[in-house]
Amino acid sequence: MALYNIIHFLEEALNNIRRNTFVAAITVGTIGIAFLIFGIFLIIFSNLNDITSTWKEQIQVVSYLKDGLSNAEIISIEDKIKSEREINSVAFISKEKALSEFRKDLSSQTGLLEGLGENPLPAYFEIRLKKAYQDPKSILSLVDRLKKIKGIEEVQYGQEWVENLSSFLDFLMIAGMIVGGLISLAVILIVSNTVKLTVYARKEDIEIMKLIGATDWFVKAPFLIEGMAIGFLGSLMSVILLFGIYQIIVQNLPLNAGLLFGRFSIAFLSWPDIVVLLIAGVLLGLFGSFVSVGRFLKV
Amino acid sequence: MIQMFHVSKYYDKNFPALRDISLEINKGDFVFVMGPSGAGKSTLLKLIFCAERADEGQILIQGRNIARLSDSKIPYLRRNLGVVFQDYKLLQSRTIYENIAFSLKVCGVSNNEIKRRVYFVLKQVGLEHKSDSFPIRLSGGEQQRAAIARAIVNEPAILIADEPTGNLDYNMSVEIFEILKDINVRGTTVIVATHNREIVSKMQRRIISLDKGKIVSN
Repeated sequence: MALYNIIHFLEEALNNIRRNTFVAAITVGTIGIAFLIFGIFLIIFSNLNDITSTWKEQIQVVSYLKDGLSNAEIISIEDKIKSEREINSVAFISKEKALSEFRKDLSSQTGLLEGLGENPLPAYFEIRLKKAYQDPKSILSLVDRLKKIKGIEEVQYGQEWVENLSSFLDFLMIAGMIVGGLISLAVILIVSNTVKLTVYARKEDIEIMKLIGATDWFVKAPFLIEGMAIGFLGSLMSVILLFGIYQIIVQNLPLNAGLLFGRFSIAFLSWPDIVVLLIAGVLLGLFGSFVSVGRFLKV
Repeated sequence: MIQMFHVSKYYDKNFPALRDISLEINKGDFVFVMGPSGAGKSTLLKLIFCAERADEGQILIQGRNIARLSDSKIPYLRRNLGVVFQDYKLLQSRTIYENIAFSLKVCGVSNNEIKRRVYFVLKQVGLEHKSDSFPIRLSGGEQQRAAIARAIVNEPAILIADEPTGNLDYNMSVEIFEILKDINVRGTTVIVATHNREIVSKMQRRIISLDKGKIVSN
Protein backbone atom coordinates (compact mmCIF):
# COMPACT_ATOMS: atom_id res chain seq x y z
CA MET A 1 0.00 0.00 0.00
CA ALA A 2 2.77 2.40 0.97
CA LEU A 3 4.76 1.58 -2.16
CA TYR A 4 1.60 1.78 -4.25
CA ASN A 5 0.98 5.25 -2.85
CA ILE A 6 4.55 6.44 -3.43
CA ILE A 7 4.42 5.31 -7.05
CA HIS A 8 1.03 6.97 -7.42
CA PHE A 9 2.31 10.25 -5.88
CA LEU A 10 5.35 10.33 -8.17
CA GLU A 11 3.19 9.54 -11.20
CA GLU A 12 0.69 12.24 -10.24
CA ALA A 13 3.43 14.84 -9.68
CA LEU A 14 5.01 14.03 -13.03
CA ASN A 15 1.64 14.06 -14.81
CA ASN A 16 0.73 17.37 -13.18
CA ILE A 17 3.91 18.93 -14.54
CA ARG A 18 3.23 17.36 -17.94
CA ARG A 19 -0.39 18.56 -17.97
CA ASN A 20 0.64 22.07 -17.01
CA THR A 21 3.93 22.30 -18.90
CA PHE A 22 3.54 25.97 -19.70
CA VAL A 23 2.80 27.03 -16.12
CA ALA A 24 5.55 24.74 -14.83
CA ALA A 25 8.06 26.24 -17.28
CA ILE A 26 7.16 29.79 -16.28
CA THR A 27 7.42 28.86 -12.62
CA VAL A 28 10.82 27.24 -13.11
CA GLY A 29 11.96 30.33 -15.04
CA THR A 30 10.77 32.75 -12.35
CA ILE A 31 12.41 30.74 -9.60
CA GLY A 32 15.56 30.45 -11.71
CA ILE A 33 15.82 34.21 -12.14
CA ALA A 34 15.15 34.87 -8.45
CA PHE A 35 17.91 32.45 -7.51
CA LEU A 36 20.17 33.89 -10.20
CA ILE A 37 20.04 37.29 -8.50
CA PHE A 38 20.76 35.66 -5.18
CA GLY A 39 23.63 33.68 -6.73
CA ILE A 40 25.19 36.82 -8.23
CA PHE A 41 25.09 38.42 -4.79
CA LEU A 42 26.61 35.28 -3.28
CA ILE A 43 29.49 35.27 -5.77
CA ILE A 44 30.24 38.95 -5.25
CA PHE A 45 30.02 38.65 -1.49
CA SER A 46 32.12 35.52 -1.16
CA ASN A 47 34.80 36.94 -3.49
CA LEU A 48 34.94 40.17 -1.48
CA ASN A 49 35.25 38.05 1.61
CA ASP A 50 38.15 36.12 0.07
CA ILE A 51 39.86 39.35 -0.94
CA THR A 52 39.55 40.81 2.55
CA SER A 53 40.92 37.65 4.09
CA THR A 54 44.02 37.88 1.87
CA TRP A 55 44.34 41.45 3.07
CA LYS A 56 44.03 40.27 6.62
CA GLU A 57 46.77 37.70 6.06
CA GLN A 58 49.10 40.55 5.25
CA ILE A 59 48.69 42.02 8.71
CA GLN A 60 51.92 41.64 10.63
CA VAL A 61 53.17 42.80 13.97
CA VAL A 62 56.79 43.96 14.21
CA SER A 63 58.53 43.96 17.60
CA TYR A 64 61.70 46.07 17.60
CA LEU A 65 64.38 45.01 20.06
CA LYS A 66 66.58 47.14 22.23
CA ASP A 67 70.22 47.34 21.15
CA GLY A 68 72.86 45.30 22.84
CA LEU A 69 70.86 42.18 23.76
CA SER A 70 72.74 38.89 24.10
CA ASN A 71 71.80 35.89 21.95
CA ALA A 72 70.38 34.15 25.00
CA GLU A 73 68.16 37.17 25.72
CA ILE A 74 66.95 37.25 22.12
CA ILE A 75 66.12 33.54 22.23
CA SER A 76 64.22 34.01 25.47
CA ILE A 77 62.23 36.89 23.93
CA GLU A 78 61.43 34.71 20.90
CA ASP A 79 60.22 31.94 23.19
CA LYS A 80 57.99 34.36 25.05
CA ILE A 81 56.52 35.65 21.81
CA LYS A 82 55.96 32.12 20.55
CA SER A 83 54.12 31.22 23.73
CA GLU A 84 51.30 33.67 22.85
CA ARG A 85 48.31 31.82 21.43
CA GLU A 86 47.73 34.26 18.52
CA ILE A 87 51.08 33.59 16.92
CA ASN A 88 51.28 31.76 13.62
CA SER A 89 54.96 32.38 12.79
CA VAL A 90 57.86 34.44 14.08
CA ALA A 91 60.90 35.46 12.06
CA PHE A 92 63.95 37.08 13.57
CA ILE A 93 65.63 39.83 11.55
CA SER A 94 69.05 40.79 12.91
CA LYS A 95 70.44 44.32 12.76
CA GLU A 96 72.70 43.32 9.84
CA LYS A 97 69.91 41.73 7.88
CA ALA A 98 67.70 44.74 8.54
CA LEU A 99 70.37 46.98 7.09
CA SER A 100 70.99 44.80 4.05
CA GLU A 101 67.24 44.69 3.36
CA PHE A 102 67.09 48.45 3.74
CA ARG A 103 69.93 48.74 1.23
CA LYS A 104 68.06 46.51 -1.16
CA ASP A 105 64.94 48.67 -0.80
CA LEU A 106 66.89 51.82 -1.52
CA SER A 107 68.90 50.14 -4.34
CA SER A 108 69.72 53.12 -6.55
CA GLN A 109 70.24 55.46 -3.68
CA THR A 110 72.57 53.33 -1.60
CA GLY A 111 74.87 56.32 -1.53
CA LEU A 112 72.67 57.82 1.13
CA LEU A 113 73.78 55.14 3.55
CA GLU A 114 77.49 55.59 2.95
CA GLY A 115 77.89 58.21 5.63
CA LEU A 116 76.48 55.98 8.32
CA GLY A 117 79.00 55.01 10.90
CA GLU A 118 77.34 52.30 12.92
CA ASN A 119 74.18 50.44 11.93
CA PRO A 120 71.26 52.56 13.26
CA LEU A 121 68.56 49.92 12.54
CA PRO A 122 67.26 47.79 15.38
CA ALA A 123 66.85 44.02 15.19
CA TYR A 124 63.22 42.89 15.14
CA PHE A 125 60.79 40.02 15.11
CA GLU A 126 58.29 39.77 12.26
CA ILE A 127 55.18 38.16 13.68
CA ARG A 128 52.31 36.70 11.67
CA LEU A 129 49.00 35.92 13.29
CA LYS A 130 46.70 32.96 13.10
CA LYS A 131 43.56 33.50 11.00
CA ALA A 132 41.23 33.63 13.97
CA TYR A 133 43.15 36.52 15.52
CA GLN A 134 43.50 38.79 12.51
CA ASP A 135 41.20 41.45 13.90
CA PRO A 136 41.97 44.78 15.63
CA LYS A 137 40.82 43.67 19.07
CA SER A 138 43.06 40.60 19.20
CA ILE A 139 45.94 42.53 17.69
CA LEU A 140 45.68 45.32 20.28
CA SER A 141 45.60 42.86 23.16
CA LEU A 142 48.61 40.98 21.74
CA VAL A 143 50.52 44.23 21.21
CA ASP A 144 49.89 45.19 24.85
CA ARG A 145 51.35 41.91 26.03
CA LEU A 146 54.34 42.12 23.65
CA LYS A 147 55.17 45.62 24.89
CA LYS A 148 55.55 44.23 28.41
CA ILE A 149 58.23 41.73 27.36
CA LYS A 150 61.60 42.88 28.62
CA GLY A 151 63.95 43.76 25.77
CA ILE A 152 61.25 44.85 23.32
CA GLU A 153 61.52 48.55 22.64
CA GLU A 154 58.57 49.16 20.37
CA VAL A 155 55.78 47.28 18.69
CA GLN A 156 54.30 48.34 15.36
CA TYR A 157 51.37 46.82 13.61
CA GLY A 158 50.22 49.27 10.95
CA GLN A 159 47.59 50.71 13.24
CA GLU A 160 45.86 52.86 10.64
CA TRP A 161 45.71 50.04 8.11
CA VAL A 162 44.27 47.63 10.62
CA GLU A 163 41.66 50.12 11.77
CA ASN A 164 40.64 51.07 8.23
CA LEU A 165 40.47 47.45 7.23
CA SER A 166 38.43 46.63 10.28
CA SER A 167 35.88 49.38 9.70
CA PHE A 168 35.70 48.40 6.03
CA LEU A 169 35.09 44.79 7.00
CA ASP A 170 32.41 45.85 9.47
CA PHE A 171 30.75 47.88 6.73
CA LEU A 172 31.02 45.00 4.29
CA MET A 173 29.51 42.60 6.80
CA ILE A 174 26.56 44.86 7.61
CA ALA A 175 25.95 45.82 3.98
CA GLY A 176 26.23 42.15 3.02
CA MET A 177 23.77 41.12 5.69
CA ILE A 178 21.25 43.81 4.70
CA VAL A 179 21.51 43.20 0.95
CA GLY A 180 21.72 39.43 1.41
CA GLY A 181 18.78 39.50 3.82
CA LEU A 182 16.64 41.55 1.45
CA ILE A 183 17.50 39.38 -1.54
CA SER A 184 16.85 36.20 0.47
CA LEU A 185 13.50 37.57 1.56
CA ALA A 186 12.62 38.47 -2.02
CA VAL A 187 13.66 35.00 -3.20
CA ILE A 188 11.61 33.32 -0.46
CA LEU A 189 8.54 35.40 -1.35
CA ILE A 190 8.92 35.02 -5.10
CA VAL A 191 9.55 31.27 -5.03
CA SER A 192 6.87 30.36 -2.50
CA ASN A 193 4.31 32.67 -4.11
CA THR A 194 5.02 31.41 -7.60
CA VAL A 195 4.54 27.85 -6.42
CA LYS A 196 1.39 28.98 -4.61
CA LEU A 197 -0.02 30.38 -7.85
CA THR A 198 0.37 27.02 -9.56
CA VAL A 199 -1.59 25.46 -6.70
CA TYR A 200 -4.25 28.22 -6.71
CA ALA A 201 -4.86 27.49 -10.36
CA ARG A 202 -5.89 23.98 -9.35
CA LYS A 203 -7.85 24.72 -6.19
CA GLU A 204 -10.99 23.29 -7.76
CA ASP A 205 -9.15 20.05 -8.45
CA ILE A 206 -8.18 19.88 -4.79
CA GLU A 207 -11.81 20.44 -3.75
CA ILE A 208 -13.04 17.73 -6.13
CA MET A 209 -10.43 15.23 -4.93
CA LYS A 210 -11.49 15.84 -1.34
CA LEU A 211 -15.17 15.39 -2.22
CA ILE A 212 -14.39 12.06 -3.86
CA GLY A 213 -12.90 10.81 -0.61
CA ALA A 214 -9.18 11.51 -0.94
CA THR A 215 -7.38 12.04 2.36
CA ASP A 216 -5.44 15.26 2.88
CA TRP A 217 -2.16 13.47 2.30
CA PHE A 218 -3.35 11.79 -0.85
CA VAL A 219 -4.11 15.22 -2.30
CA LYS A 220 -1.14 16.99 -0.79
CA ALA A 221 1.73 14.61 -1.52
CA PRO A 222 1.83 15.03 -5.34
CA PHE A 223 1.69 18.80 -4.94
CA LEU A 224 4.58 18.70 -2.47
CA ILE A 225 6.65 16.52 -4.81
CA GLU A 226 5.78 18.83 -7.69
CA GLY A 227 6.76 21.90 -5.61
CA MET A 228 10.09 20.32 -4.71
CA ALA A 229 10.77 19.31 -8.32
CA ILE A 230 9.95 22.78 -9.63
CA GLY A 231 12.03 24.43 -6.89
CA PHE A 232 14.93 22.12 -7.71
CA LEU A 233 14.71 22.73 -11.46
CA GLY A 234 14.52 26.50 -10.85
CA SER A 235 17.58 26.59 -8.64
CA LEU A 236 19.43 24.21 -10.97
CA MET A 237 18.65 26.54 -13.85
CA SER A 238 20.03 29.47 -11.85
CA VAL A 239 23.30 27.61 -11.19
CA ILE A 240 23.67 26.80 -14.89
CA LEU A 241 22.92 30.41 -15.93
CA LEU A 242 25.23 31.68 -13.23
CA PHE A 243 28.05 29.49 -14.49
CA GLY A 244 27.47 30.72 -18.05
CA ILE A 245 27.55 34.36 -16.97
CA TYR A 246 30.60 33.66 -14.80
CA GLN A 247 32.46 32.13 -17.75
CA ILE A 248 31.64 35.06 -20.00
CA ILE A 249 32.82 37.59 -17.40
CA VAL A 250 35.99 35.71 -16.49
CA GLN A 251 37.00 35.25 -20.11
CA ASN A 252 36.48 38.90 -20.93
CA LEU A 253 38.13 40.26 -17.81
CA PRO A 254 41.25 42.33 -18.61
CA LEU A 255 44.33 40.45 -17.43
CA ASN A 256 45.39 43.15 -15.01
CA ALA A 257 41.97 43.56 -13.41
CA GLY A 258 42.92 41.05 -10.76
CA LEU A 259 45.79 43.23 -9.61
CA LEU A 260 43.28 45.75 -8.36
CA PHE A 261 42.08 43.31 -5.77
CA GLY A 262 45.42 41.75 -4.97
CA ARG A 263 44.47 38.50 -6.66
CA PHE A 264 44.12 37.14 -10.11
CA SER A 265 40.89 35.24 -10.31
CA ILE A 266 37.23 35.49 -9.43
CA ALA A 267 36.01 32.33 -7.77
CA PHE A 268 32.70 30.65 -8.75
CA LEU A 269 30.34 29.40 -6.06
CA SER A 270 31.87 26.67 -3.93
CA TRP A 271 30.32 23.17 -4.04
CA PRO A 272 28.73 23.63 -0.61
CA ASP A 273 27.21 26.94 -1.82
CA ILE A 274 25.77 25.19 -4.89
CA VAL A 275 24.34 22.39 -2.77
CA VAL A 276 22.82 24.92 -0.36
CA LEU A 277 21.27 26.80 -3.31
CA LEU A 278 19.72 23.60 -4.71
CA ILE A 279 18.43 22.54 -1.32
CA ALA A 280 17.00 26.03 -0.77
CA GLY A 281 15.12 25.67 -4.07
CA VAL A 282 13.70 22.30 -3.04
CA LEU A 283 12.71 23.53 0.42
CA LEU A 284 11.10 26.75 -0.82
CA GLY A 285 9.12 24.82 -3.43
CA LEU A 286 8.01 22.42 -0.71
CA PHE A 287 7.10 25.29 1.61
CA GLY A 288 5.11 27.14 -1.06
CA SER A 289 3.11 24.01 -1.94
CA PHE A 290 2.59 23.00 1.65
CA VAL A 291 1.15 26.36 2.70
CA SER A 292 -1.09 26.82 -0.32
CA VAL A 293 -2.47 23.28 -0.63
CA GLY A 294 -3.30 23.31 3.07
CA ARG A 295 -5.50 26.32 2.48
CA PHE A 296 -7.79 24.45 0.07
CA LEU A 297 -8.04 21.16 1.90
CA LYS A 298 -10.87 22.21 4.17
CA VAL A 299 -13.72 20.82 2.09
CA MET B 1 -29.66 3.96 6.49
CA ILE B 2 -29.79 7.73 7.08
CA GLN B 3 -31.38 9.20 10.19
CA MET B 4 -31.51 12.84 11.22
CA PHE B 5 -32.64 14.01 14.65
CA HIS B 6 -33.45 17.68 15.25
CA VAL B 7 -30.74 18.87 12.90
CA SER B 8 -30.16 22.60 12.46
CA LYS B 9 -27.56 24.47 10.47
CA TYR B 10 -26.84 28.19 10.71
CA TYR B 11 -24.80 30.21 8.24
CA ASP B 12 -26.33 33.33 9.78
CA LYS B 13 -27.45 33.31 13.40
CA ASN B 14 -30.87 34.83 12.66
CA PHE B 15 -31.68 32.83 9.53
CA PRO B 16 -31.05 29.11 9.91
CA ALA B 17 -30.43 27.25 6.64
CA LEU B 18 -32.03 24.17 8.22
CA ARG B 19 -34.30 24.14 11.25
CA ASP B 20 -35.02 21.14 13.41
CA ILE B 21 -34.91 18.55 10.66
CA SER B 22 -35.77 14.97 11.61
CA LEU B 23 -36.09 12.28 8.94
CA GLU B 24 -35.28 8.71 8.08
CA ILE B 25 -34.25 7.26 4.73
CA ASN B 26 -34.15 3.48 4.41
CA LYS B 27 -31.84 1.19 2.51
CA GLY B 28 -32.83 1.03 -1.16
CA ASP B 29 -35.03 4.14 -1.04
CA PHE B 30 -35.23 6.64 -3.90
CA VAL B 31 -35.96 10.03 -2.40
CA PHE B 32 -36.40 13.44 -3.95
CA VAL B 33 -35.60 16.55 -1.96
CA MET B 34 -37.55 19.48 -3.36
CA GLY B 35 -38.20 23.09 -2.59
CA PRO B 36 -37.59 26.63 -3.86
CA SER B 37 -34.08 28.11 -4.12
CA GLY B 38 -32.65 28.76 -0.68
CA ALA B 39 -34.95 26.22 0.96
CA GLY B 40 -31.97 24.25 2.27
CA LYS B 41 -31.87 21.31 -0.19
CA SER B 42 -28.15 21.57 -0.91
CA THR B 43 -27.33 22.12 2.74
CA LEU B 44 -29.28 19.00 3.69
CA LEU B 45 -27.25 16.94 1.20
CA LYS B 46 -23.97 18.57 2.21
CA LEU B 47 -24.59 17.51 5.80
CA ILE B 48 -24.73 13.89 4.65
CA PHE B 49 -21.34 13.96 2.93
CA CYS B 50 -19.86 16.28 5.54
CA ALA B 51 -19.17 19.24 3.25
CA GLU B 52 -21.03 21.09 6.01
CA ARG B 53 -21.38 20.12 9.66
CA ALA B 54 -24.61 20.36 11.64
CA ASP B 55 -24.72 23.00 14.38
CA GLU B 56 -27.40 21.12 16.32
CA GLY B 57 -28.78 17.60 16.28
CA GLN B 58 -27.44 14.18 15.31
CA ILE B 59 -27.00 12.48 11.95
CA LEU B 60 -26.60 8.71 11.70
CA ILE B 61 -25.38 7.12 8.48
CA GLN B 62 -25.46 3.32 8.46
CA GLY B 63 -25.66 3.51 12.23
CA ARG B 64 -22.64 5.77 12.60
CA ASN B 65 -23.04 9.20 14.18
CA ILE B 66 -21.30 11.62 11.83
CA ALA B 67 -21.89 14.67 14.02
CA ARG B 68 -18.88 13.56 16.01
CA LEU B 69 -16.81 12.38 13.03
CA SER B 70 -13.34 13.92 13.08
CA ASP B 71 -12.09 15.71 9.95
CA SER B 72 -9.53 13.00 9.28
CA LYS B 73 -12.29 10.35 9.10
CA ILE B 74 -14.43 12.24 6.58
CA PRO B 75 -12.62 10.84 3.49
CA TYR B 76 -13.48 7.28 4.57
CA LEU B 77 -17.15 8.20 4.94
CA ARG B 78 -17.14 9.80 1.47
CA ARG B 79 -15.72 6.66 -0.14
CA ASN B 80 -18.91 4.91 0.84
CA LEU B 81 -21.06 7.67 -0.65
CA GLY B 82 -21.31 8.67 -4.28
CA VAL B 83 -21.91 12.36 -4.89
CA VAL B 84 -23.09 14.00 -8.13
CA PHE B 85 -23.12 17.77 -8.53
CA GLN B 86 -24.98 20.20 -10.78
CA ASP B 87 -21.67 21.46 -12.25
CA TYR B 88 -20.32 17.87 -12.64
CA LYS B 89 -17.05 18.69 -10.86
CA LEU B 90 -14.87 16.70 -13.22
CA LEU B 91 -11.10 17.24 -13.21
CA GLN B 92 -10.69 19.21 -16.43
CA SER B 93 -7.07 18.25 -17.05
CA ARG B 94 -7.82 14.53 -16.93
CA THR B 95 -9.58 12.20 -19.29
CA ILE B 96 -12.94 10.65 -18.41
CA TYR B 97 -11.15 7.38 -17.66
CA GLU B 98 -8.69 9.13 -15.34
CA ASN B 99 -11.50 11.02 -13.60
CA ILE B 100 -13.34 7.82 -12.75
CA ALA B 101 -10.16 5.92 -11.95
CA PHE B 102 -9.19 8.58 -9.41
CA SER B 103 -12.08 7.50 -7.15
CA LEU B 104 -10.62 4.01 -7.04
CA LYS B 105 -7.00 5.12 -6.70
CA VAL B 106 -8.01 7.00 -3.58
CA CYS B 107 -9.06 3.66 -2.09
CA GLY B 108 -5.86 1.90 -3.14
CA VAL B 109 -7.46 -0.37 -5.75
CA SER B 110 -4.96 -2.13 -8.07
CA ASN B 111 -4.53 -0.89 -11.64
CA ASN B 112 -6.00 -4.03 -13.20
CA GLU B 113 -9.06 -3.86 -11.00
CA ILE B 114 -9.39 -0.13 -11.75
CA LYS B 115 -9.39 -0.84 -15.48
CA ARG B 116 -12.07 -3.52 -15.12
CA ARG B 117 -14.36 -1.44 -12.93
CA VAL B 118 -13.98 1.82 -14.86
CA TYR B 119 -14.96 0.14 -18.15
CA PHE B 120 -17.84 -1.56 -16.42
CA VAL B 121 -19.36 1.72 -15.17
CA LEU B 122 -18.58 3.53 -18.42
CA LYS B 123 -20.64 0.88 -20.18
CA GLN B 124 -23.39 1.28 -17.61
CA VAL B 125 -23.71 5.02 -18.38
CA GLY B 126 -23.09 4.54 -22.11
CA LEU B 127 -19.76 6.35 -22.34
CA GLU B 128 -17.32 3.55 -23.13
CA HIS B 129 -16.36 5.29 -26.40
CA LYS B 130 -15.47 8.53 -24.57
CA SER B 131 -13.01 7.14 -22.03
CA ASP B 132 -10.01 8.97 -23.53
CA SER B 133 -11.81 12.28 -24.05
CA PHE B 134 -11.33 15.28 -21.82
CA PRO B 135 -14.45 16.65 -20.08
CA ILE B 136 -14.44 19.83 -22.17
CA ARG B 137 -15.01 17.71 -25.33
CA LEU B 138 -18.21 16.20 -23.89
CA SER B 139 -21.76 17.59 -23.88
CA GLY B 140 -23.35 18.53 -20.55
CA GLY B 141 -25.32 15.29 -20.46
CA GLU B 142 -22.25 13.23 -21.19
CA GLN B 143 -20.26 15.03 -18.51
CA GLN B 144 -23.00 14.35 -15.99
CA ARG B 145 -23.06 10.69 -16.98
CA ALA B 146 -19.30 10.60 -16.45
CA ALA B 147 -19.78 12.20 -13.03
CA ILE B 148 -22.39 9.56 -12.18
CA ALA B 149 -20.01 6.83 -13.32
CA ARG B 150 -17.37 8.26 -11.01
CA ALA B 151 -19.86 8.38 -8.14
CA ILE B 152 -20.91 4.73 -8.49
CA VAL B 153 -17.60 3.10 -9.43
CA ASN B 154 -16.87 2.48 -5.74
CA GLU B 155 -20.23 0.74 -5.42
CA PRO B 156 -21.38 3.09 -2.67
CA ALA B 157 -24.35 2.29 -0.44
CA ILE B 158 -25.74 5.78 -0.97
CA LEU B 159 -25.78 8.02 -4.04
CA ILE B 160 -26.41 11.72 -3.47
CA ALA B 161 -27.19 13.98 -6.42
CA ASP B 162 -27.50 17.74 -5.98
CA GLU B 163 -29.47 19.22 -8.90
CA PRO B 164 -27.94 16.71 -11.32
CA THR B 165 -30.04 17.99 -14.23
CA GLY B 166 -29.89 21.69 -13.35
CA ASN B 167 -27.75 22.46 -16.40
CA LEU B 168 -29.39 20.00 -18.79
CA ASP B 169 -32.32 20.10 -21.21
CA TYR B 170 -35.41 17.91 -20.77
CA ASN B 171 -34.29 14.93 -22.87
CA MET B 172 -30.92 14.75 -21.25
CA SER B 173 -32.54 15.10 -17.83
CA VAL B 174 -34.81 12.12 -18.53
CA GLU B 175 -31.73 10.12 -19.54
CA ILE B 176 -29.94 11.02 -16.31
CA PHE B 177 -32.96 10.08 -14.17
CA GLU B 178 -33.21 6.75 -16.00
CA ILE B 179 -29.62 6.02 -15.05
CA LEU B 180 -30.28 7.01 -11.42
CA LYS B 181 -33.32 4.74 -11.40
CA ASP B 182 -31.20 1.84 -12.68
CA ILE B 183 -28.64 2.43 -9.96
CA ASN B 184 -31.41 2.38 -7.38
CA VAL B 185 -32.79 -0.86 -8.76
CA ARG B 186 -29.37 -2.45 -8.15
CA GLY B 187 -29.79 -1.67 -4.45
CA THR B 188 -28.19 1.72 -3.95
CA THR B 189 -30.06 4.28 -1.87
CA VAL B 190 -30.50 7.40 -4.03
CA ILE B 191 -31.22 10.92 -2.78
CA VAL B 192 -31.75 13.63 -5.38
CA ALA B 193 -32.28 17.33 -4.82
CA THR B 194 -34.04 18.81 -7.83
CA HIS B 195 -36.31 21.52 -9.19
CA ASN B 196 -37.56 19.34 -12.00
CA ARG B 197 -41.24 18.87 -11.02
CA GLU B 198 -42.24 17.29 -14.29
CA ILE B 199 -39.86 14.38 -14.04
CA VAL B 200 -40.40 14.00 -10.30
CA SER B 201 -44.13 13.64 -10.69
CA LYS B 202 -43.63 11.09 -13.48
CA MET B 203 -41.33 8.96 -11.36
CA GLN B 204 -43.71 8.59 -8.41
CA ARG B 205 -41.20 8.40 -5.59
CA ARG B 206 -40.99 9.69 -2.06
CA ILE B 207 -40.58 13.48 -1.87
CA ILE B 208 -39.20 15.50 1.03
CA SER B 209 -40.24 19.12 0.57
CA LEU B 210 -38.31 21.89 2.22
CA ASP B 211 -39.13 25.57 2.63
CA LYS B 212 -37.09 28.13 4.52
CA GLY B 213 -35.06 25.38 6.14
CA LYS B 214 -38.02 23.34 7.42
CA ILE B 215 -39.60 20.15 6.19
CA VAL B 216 -43.07 21.03 4.91
CA SER B 217 -44.01 17.59 3.66
CA ASN B 218 -42.42 14.15 3.73
